[in-house]
Amino acid sequence: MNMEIKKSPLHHEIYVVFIKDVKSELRTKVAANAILLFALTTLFLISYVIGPYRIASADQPYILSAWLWVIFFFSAMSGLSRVFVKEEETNTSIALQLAARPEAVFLGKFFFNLVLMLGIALVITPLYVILMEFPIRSVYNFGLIIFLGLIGMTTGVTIIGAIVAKASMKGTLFPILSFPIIIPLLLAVIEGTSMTARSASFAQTMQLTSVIIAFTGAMFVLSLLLFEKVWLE
Amino acid sequence: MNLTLQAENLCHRFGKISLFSDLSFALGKSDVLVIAGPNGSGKSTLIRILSGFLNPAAGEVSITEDGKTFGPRHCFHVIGMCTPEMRLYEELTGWENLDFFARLRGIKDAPDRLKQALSFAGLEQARHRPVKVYSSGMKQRLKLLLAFFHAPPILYLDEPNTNLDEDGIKVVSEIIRRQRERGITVIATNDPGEYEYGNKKISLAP
Repeated sequence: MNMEIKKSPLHHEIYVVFIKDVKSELRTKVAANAILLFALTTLFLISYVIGPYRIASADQPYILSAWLWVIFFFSAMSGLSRVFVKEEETNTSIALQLAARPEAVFLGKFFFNLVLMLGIALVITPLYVILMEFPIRSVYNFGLIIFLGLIGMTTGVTIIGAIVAKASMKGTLFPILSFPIIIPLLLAVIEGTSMTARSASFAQTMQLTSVIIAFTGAMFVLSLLLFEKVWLE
Repeated sequence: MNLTLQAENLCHRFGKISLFSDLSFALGKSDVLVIAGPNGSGKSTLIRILSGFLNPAAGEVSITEDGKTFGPRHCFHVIGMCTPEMRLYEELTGWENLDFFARLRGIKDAPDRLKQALSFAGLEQARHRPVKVYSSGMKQRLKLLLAFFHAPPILYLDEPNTNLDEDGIKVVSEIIRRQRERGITVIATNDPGEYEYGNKKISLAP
């Protein structure tokens, strides 16, 4: 179709969408503030009310891992859907649909959400480990599980954000849809995180790491396939 | 390049209200179609159907170039569109908005063309201001540039003169004149002053 108009390479389109979202976020700071404030409030509430000493040491790996991921999950809920909801609410999606390939939009916004979540995790995780005295046996395994878990969670939350942005009851629908889709991943990452507090052996976390990678990979591929239908709806 | 935009037996309805039925036309290069009609007659809906953003209740839209036929949804990258419901990124400047879409469309010499385009639309002084401080007329000028900047073979304009002053209306006239040399233009309007842009006209009844 019209040879005079060349499409940009996909990686370039992804980069352009990503940079636009970063620029918009730096100007408004709405998503970053929402996520960070939620995460910090929850973290300080947990550490102040319960702290590390009211939990039996045998239960600590399980309970502390679960709370850490609850903080991540609900923080993601509070801000990550914004990348699509804002496009729909401000009617900027029409021009974006015309100019960019759907996969470039999805991937650009996925990388933006991922960078945002990793940034939040870089602030929250050390604070959580210090305040709750999380007993990490292997920093490497712990970091790997957190990193992979955040990729999986961001994938799920990004595609659900795109679906929810098209619906009228956005606030309610987002957690309702996210919960069943992300639960299998959350179970695996919570177990994986607690394992890093019980054992320093990579072999023991290997199986859970594989589950997280497989789940994330499947969700990522499905999201890419589904996104065009959702975006152009 | 042999370009045709064809609509065959288009019908659309919202619930029990029929907007139009059995609407057929074919447009070729240099054609400017004016869709006229009062408020609620379905002008904007027809633009949305032609551009692929809405499926008609019946009928078909096809775009043919050099013997190859495509549905409108496969032609998004060659469409330029300016409609009242489209919005710009308010937190970005006029330059950044235009630059974003130019980069997405793979325009290589974007900075030079951006300067020329903004100057053409009379926005060069305001180019580094956030769009949120633009007047409605300035926003309309920028939206027209976004629609026209990548030299699309098919250009859809819905109420293009909305909020524009005399200079702005001259910009619209010039855009349509240039587009006539290059491809197809479809304009939806209820302003009789804009009918003169077209060489073809459809009147929709309420």
